[in-house]
Amino acid sequence: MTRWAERSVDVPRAPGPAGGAPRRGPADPVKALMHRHRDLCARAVDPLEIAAGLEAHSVTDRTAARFRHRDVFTLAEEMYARSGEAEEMYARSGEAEEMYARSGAQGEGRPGGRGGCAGAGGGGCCGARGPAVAGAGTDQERTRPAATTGGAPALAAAPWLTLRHGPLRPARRASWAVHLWVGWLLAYALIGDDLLAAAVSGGPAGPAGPAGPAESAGPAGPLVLRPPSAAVALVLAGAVAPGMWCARLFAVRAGRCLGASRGLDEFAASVRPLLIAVFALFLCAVGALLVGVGSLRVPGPGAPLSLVGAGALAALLWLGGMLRAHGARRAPALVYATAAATQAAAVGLVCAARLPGCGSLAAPVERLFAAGGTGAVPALVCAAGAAALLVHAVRVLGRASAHAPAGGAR
Amino acid sequence: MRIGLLTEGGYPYVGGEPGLWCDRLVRGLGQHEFVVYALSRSERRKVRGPGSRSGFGFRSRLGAGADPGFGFGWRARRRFAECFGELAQVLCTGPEAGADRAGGSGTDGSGQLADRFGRSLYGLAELARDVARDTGGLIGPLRSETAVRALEKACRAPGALRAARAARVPDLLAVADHLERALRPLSLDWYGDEDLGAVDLCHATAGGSAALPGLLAKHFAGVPLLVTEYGVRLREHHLAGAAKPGAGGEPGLAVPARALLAAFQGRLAAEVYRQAAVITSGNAHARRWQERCGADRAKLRTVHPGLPSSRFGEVGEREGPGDPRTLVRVGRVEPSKDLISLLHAFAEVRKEEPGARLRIVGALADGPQAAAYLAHCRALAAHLFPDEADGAHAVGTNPVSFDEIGGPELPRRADAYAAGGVVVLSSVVEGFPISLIEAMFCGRATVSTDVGAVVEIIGGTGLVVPPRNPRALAQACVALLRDPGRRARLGAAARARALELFTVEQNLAAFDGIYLEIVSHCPVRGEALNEAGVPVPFARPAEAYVPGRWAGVRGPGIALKEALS
Repeated sequence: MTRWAERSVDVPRAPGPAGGAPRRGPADPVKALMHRHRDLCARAVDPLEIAAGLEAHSVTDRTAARFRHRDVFTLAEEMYARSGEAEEMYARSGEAEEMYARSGAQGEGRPGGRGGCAGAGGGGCCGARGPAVAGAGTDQERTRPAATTGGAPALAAAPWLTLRHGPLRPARRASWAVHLWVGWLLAYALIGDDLLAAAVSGGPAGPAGPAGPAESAGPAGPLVLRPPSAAVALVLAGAVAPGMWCARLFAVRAGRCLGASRGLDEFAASVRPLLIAVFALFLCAVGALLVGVGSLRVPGPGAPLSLVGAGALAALLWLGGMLRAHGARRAPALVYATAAATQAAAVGLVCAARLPGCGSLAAPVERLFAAGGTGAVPALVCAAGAAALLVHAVRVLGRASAHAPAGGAR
Repeated sequence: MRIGLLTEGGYPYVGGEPGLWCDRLVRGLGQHEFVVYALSRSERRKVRGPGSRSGFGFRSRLGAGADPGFGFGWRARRRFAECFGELAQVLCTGPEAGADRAGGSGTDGSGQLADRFGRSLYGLAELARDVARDTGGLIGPLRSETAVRALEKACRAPGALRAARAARVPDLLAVADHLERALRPLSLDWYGDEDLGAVDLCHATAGGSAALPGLLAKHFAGVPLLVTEYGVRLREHHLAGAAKPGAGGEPGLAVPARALLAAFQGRLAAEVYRQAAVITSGNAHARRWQERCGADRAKLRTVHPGLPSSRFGEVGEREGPGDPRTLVRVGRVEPSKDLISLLHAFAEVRKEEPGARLRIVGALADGPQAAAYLAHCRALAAHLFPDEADGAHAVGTNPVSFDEIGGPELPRRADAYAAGGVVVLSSVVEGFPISLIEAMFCGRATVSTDVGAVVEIIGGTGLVVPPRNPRALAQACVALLRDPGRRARLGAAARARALELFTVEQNLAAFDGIYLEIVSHCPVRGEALNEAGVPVPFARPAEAYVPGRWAGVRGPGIALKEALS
């Protein structure tokens, strides 16, 4: 404006019809227009966006002619070009930060939306489960079956419910095979030690049928009378609540990293240590649980390694749940299947060793048995599986695409 | 002829708003066979109309196979990375950078970019056709880390768009998500020889994603494409993007993401316009946008929307021109219709013509804002015009009345127009005002503001004044109120013009003509091969494609194919 004023002083005014009339309005009409539509100009990413916005505010080609433009498009182009400097400021402006902070908050809210109540539910379920397990632990023969039959469904239902709705909810529905393998792993943790011990000590005589050794154990075998290990059940059930909490912690922190990082590599560099730290936290919680349960007087195989096996299984399931919650399906299923198959193979090999001429088959299992007791097999298998899953999770969860908000695909 | 009608969201479903003209088209052109290919956004919706036979209605299982990983091997993976990387580069390249790289000439640069965009798009489509059909399509790959990395690389490349350079991880994820949704038609199995490969012509009822299947049908099978845009899709995209974030509860996208998505929509629109045989628009405004977005002027045709005129025939042919002292305004009540200005204009009219009355007819627009606006208008009317009575012993009424169609006084729409001698339109923003065309069908003289397509509709058969100018509006109204002869002449001319240009019949005839024109220009498709795989010349003569049916008219043949988008 000042430039125009100075020039009008320097240059003698051209005689003309409009020369004498005082000019109405500002010297730069487009500037006033830009001021009126400053939001539009500031947000626009394309001249056509300004054109569309101007038309919605009843600016027509005829209006554009007043700004010495042929049509709205050229007017919009000028406005876009002139608002370019404002756009340069964008990266430093408050709007950007606010936007990313909001998107980060959205990322936090998604996976853990109902995590709080689900975690509380898990804790409540654990609390309610206490008497049931304690009932299983009493030596009174009459109360034990009742407490076990009442407690077992509750034991199964509570983690199932929590896992369906909490932050560990799988992004897509699991196949029946995954359910089968997880079921096998849990069942083995509960009764597998006795099964293996019976097989190794040569309890049930005769050839093992193809249906598995459990049926062939005979009515007098120790398998039928021994209840499932209450200590292991207590560990697994108790690990649900810290697992939920850790998963939610990871989701919240990862959402914050997502908003804060400028590039994919930066994001990976900040999320991978986070995952390892959260996993370590979970291990600490499980370790504390193991110590606590170990000091309780509940029945179960006294071998310390069987409790460690339960802890390793909890870690395995937690990592698998994390992976499935972020959309990876194949690796958890594969690792579950491998672990379950290895456990089944251990029992099978011991049974098969009784066949004439196959005595050497059971040698590795028996050596392991001698070194660490019955708990050594699941502990080793689950720990190996958890290690494999941890490596995979560090790779997969460091990708930004694993943390994308659930899209409209479903 | 067998015509594949490509729709998105609207037509075959009940509640889909812009589908009315598609419905009329499918029913009106019974000599052609229509197959409706519908992309729908929601899971399951009712299909419109009893006559539409969705007998072999078929839904592609899209979205069910969504997996953030890949479903296919390394070779396909590399192909995908190449194609998507190319696409990302094109999206991130600013127009000025493209021109620089091509040696300074702008047209060459943009042409090259358009070529690269098309190549990457068709590369992805071929990949989806060859490899990914049984592994959930391209949904997984488009959301995968490969895609996000390709986007990041393109954003950080030298010469990238200024806005894209600031892209952060959430932006990249959002862009990948939106691109996946926009490109979902690539994964459809519609392009075989029994489907879109077998139709004579693809008619896309909108631009953007709806025209994408048409593009692919042209690429795979050489089917000519006709694009009809009553609202330019790119403009709608920009309008939605320009809206302030948080209005719909959804946190809006940041600038980098919007820049990339705008670039994608712009390139897609340009590619659709480039490949289409004919592009039709509803009015000159849409046509200008299409030209601006790169449509070739030679391909553009304007086909005005058609309205059923029979409802207004009785009022239009009546001798009496309505109450000569009453002004009528018909349309929804919302702030953009500027009823305030109309009331002020009417105050001026009353100074000149004390007996004049104003009837404001119309339903409320959606939202609480419209209700508040109506209350405000009523208060203003009560303030400006005191109630009047015929004598000292009669009950008075206000000269301004607010009515709704469907009440006892105005049971039908035509009655609203019949109630007055002059129809007024006072909007400040308007697209293609239906009420003006209806007034013309009714043979009423009109006074309207110069917004939207009003001048194009009215021609010379009514008075047009600038918007937001109550005095000019009042002068025009007074001039018409005082001159019954002029009113009648203008009304007759308006009715003749509307019957010529804006009826359903002309709309259908125009589309029929365009169909025949397109098919006559690209008659033979698909070379016939003999057993040895050698092309046989003249194996398929052009006469085999006879427009229309050989044996009589069977009524509308409609089939439906749909997919989630």
